[in-house]
Amino acid sequence: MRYSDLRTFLLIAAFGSASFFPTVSEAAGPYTDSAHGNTNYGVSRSEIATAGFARGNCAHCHEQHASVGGSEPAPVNVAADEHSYLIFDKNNNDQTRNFCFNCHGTGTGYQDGVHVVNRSYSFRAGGWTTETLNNVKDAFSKVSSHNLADIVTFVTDKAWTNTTTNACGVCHDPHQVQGDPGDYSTNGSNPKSDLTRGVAITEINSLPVNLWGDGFLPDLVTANAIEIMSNYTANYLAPNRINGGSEPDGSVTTNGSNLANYVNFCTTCHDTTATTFGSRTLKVINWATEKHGQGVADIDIQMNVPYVSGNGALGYVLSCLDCHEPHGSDNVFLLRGAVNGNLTLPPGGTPQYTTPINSGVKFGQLCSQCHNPLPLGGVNPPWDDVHHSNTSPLDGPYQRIGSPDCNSVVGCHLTAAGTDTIDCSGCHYHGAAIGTNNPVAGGTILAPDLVVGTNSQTF
Amino acid sequence: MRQNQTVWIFTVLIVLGLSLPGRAWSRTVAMQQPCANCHTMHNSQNAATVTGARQDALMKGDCVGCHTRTSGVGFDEGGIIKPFVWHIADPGYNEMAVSTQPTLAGGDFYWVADGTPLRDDLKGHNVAGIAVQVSRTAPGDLAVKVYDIDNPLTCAGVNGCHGDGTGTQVQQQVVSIWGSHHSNAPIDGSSPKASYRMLYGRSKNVLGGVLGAEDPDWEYTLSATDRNQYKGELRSLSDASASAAFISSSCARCHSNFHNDDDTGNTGTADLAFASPWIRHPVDIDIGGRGSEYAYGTGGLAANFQVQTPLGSETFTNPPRATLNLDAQNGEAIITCISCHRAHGSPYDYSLRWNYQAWPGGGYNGCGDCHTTKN
Repeated sequence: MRYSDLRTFLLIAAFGSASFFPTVSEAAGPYTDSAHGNTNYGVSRSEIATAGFARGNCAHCHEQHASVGGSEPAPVNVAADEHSYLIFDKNNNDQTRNFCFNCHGTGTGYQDGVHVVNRSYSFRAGGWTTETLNNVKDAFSKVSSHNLADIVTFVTDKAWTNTTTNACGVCHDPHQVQGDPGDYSTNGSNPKSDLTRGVAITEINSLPVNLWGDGFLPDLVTANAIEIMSNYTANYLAPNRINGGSEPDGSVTTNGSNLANYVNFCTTCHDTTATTFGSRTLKVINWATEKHGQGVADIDIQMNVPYVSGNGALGYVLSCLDCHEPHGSDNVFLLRGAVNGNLTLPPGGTPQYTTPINSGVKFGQLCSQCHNPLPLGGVNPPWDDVHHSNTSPLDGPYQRIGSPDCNSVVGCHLTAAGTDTIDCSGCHYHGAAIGTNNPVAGGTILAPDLVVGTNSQTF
Repeated sequence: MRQNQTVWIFTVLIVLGLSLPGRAWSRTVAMQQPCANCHTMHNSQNAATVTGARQDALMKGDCVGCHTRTSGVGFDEGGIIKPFVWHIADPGYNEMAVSTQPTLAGGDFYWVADGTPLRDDLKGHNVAGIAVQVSRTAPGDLAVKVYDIDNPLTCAGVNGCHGDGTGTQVQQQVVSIWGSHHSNAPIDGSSPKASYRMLYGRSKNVLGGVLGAEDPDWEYTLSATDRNQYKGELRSLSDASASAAFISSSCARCHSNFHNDDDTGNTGTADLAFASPWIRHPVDIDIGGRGSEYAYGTGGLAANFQVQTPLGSETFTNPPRATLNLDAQNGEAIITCISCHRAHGSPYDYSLRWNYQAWPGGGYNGCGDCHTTKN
């Protein structure tokens, strides 16, 4: 059920009879509930507004006759065959030219003559309010980002019901997607939950199109129709937010009841089998078994707040957006610049390293935001204790080999210089399994020496 | 000229002889009325000149002169029955098209007429005699124009929607609709008098008339079963340009670039693929069987006809269909130009049927009548 459906139900209940409605009436629908159809901050292309069209009107994006009254409103230098779907610019081209970027981009802005301010997830949910990124277009030109052309190829190959030629529309149906922009009114940047801000995503491969995260299910019988994180799992614990409170809204709510279920959403594409995504290679993801998902830690973990350290089945289940940006990031793999109340990106804060996670290494910069790399107080180098120490309460699965010369010819850290560590991603990644990428000492692949740790290296 | 006048006099006498005493043959029984209501035998009455300009066919006035109403609304002005298309005083407008229609089906020239408060060319067709034409370019026209830019836009005549396009002067408009007011011939498109509302012209380089079923009171009273029925076509890739029989083709004679999917418009040359994704809103396609957002009211097997957003059809019924079968593209739910626009004029820009510009927040989203999830 969508909001409009609920509203209709309540109206009928309140008035007691449908006879209160005129013979011909028009109820508000998903579009007028959407960000683009909003009468306060919805679409408003300058020339169309000047022509007298109300904010939110279809004509701001769609020119019914590839023109308006026979004239061509800006932008005018668009080829005739690029007006597909009657829109005023080319629908989808590459990382820098996309119809949506005409308003959600840089340069000449058509939305009220300027651009819509959109922030990163780290900014709005994570509280990283000093981040300067202020538009969607630039996010797709970061060190890592979703490849828009690949997305179109991917969904086209899937032949999904709501196949679109605009990559943005795969996740954000423009006629339903909600969420106020960052520059709307005086409180546009205030922390809000996925519901109070408006539902920003729509269900992938769903027809009719359905908001994802509003908690109203058009398909109740569908097993994966669990749109709120707290419905997906009872073991979600919201990470901290910079400047206090919990994600995404800075409130005391931590069970995910104010968060969309991004797990089911993202794994629609990033599933257990997908290893290619257009031109890219993907890691398979099975959140039902992975440890950051519904799988459980099999040995000791040492955590930072708000997470609790312990042995065995703590059972925490993370949301994808706890670690990843949806659009792009200066880190690799779209890893967030701010995680669990701290920055993973310099400058500012206390990142472990002085450069972004930009070369496939230094994942400890990310992992250490939740996992404590120094549980014994810094007696040993970071991450040493959790891998090698059995000092209570630790149960490090691996013996020290070559100690104290861990990077000697008999040690495990042959590929790392000096006292540097093996990067976390060498062993821990989506889809990792026992027997793959084990530590190597003196040419010998090591297995954990603890029985309970047989799959400790998996993600 | 003398010969023409002789022909006319004989024609009128024959018509009078064959008609009821004092009443002429007419397009409908309801329109039968005394000849003198429209004609003057000597262009004088009681020693005064009847019309300022000589009119063909002994007419007392031109199209505008007869179809203008100075006060009141409706099609009956003191017993004279005719569709009034220009009201000197604001007739009002019934946006949601329920009950009676003060402006009839084609809308009204009031809002585009000279002298009207806030007169605006966007509100309708600026027809000669009603509104000054600053420019003689039609929005969406093509380099190959069907209309004659040396002459103004008129009701009939060379630049008229009604009639066969003959007659190059305003006073000669009647030539192009010769005999049509006195005919109740079946509408088969063979001539102006046998065409829907006398709409006749060239499409795909072939002359022909528009087909349709005329509501006898021009939708003064209106319901799903009491209305005009507009001819639409189930166009396909192989027939991208509509023929003259279809109501939208009449519009495309001047607004060619609004009609078809590419820039070849209405010239009869081959069109590009007539398919989604469209670069302009298509007409002459059936929204039935498309699923998704195209529910048109209730949708399905019995979608209620929306009188405020009338769809065309390939065939006509008596009475008109109150419900449309949208389960398949069977020719019952065809989008046409006049599904959204009034032919003559309306209070709204682009002569739209509803105040679409004010939506959302006000006005009416006519788009949502077909795109039912875009509301």
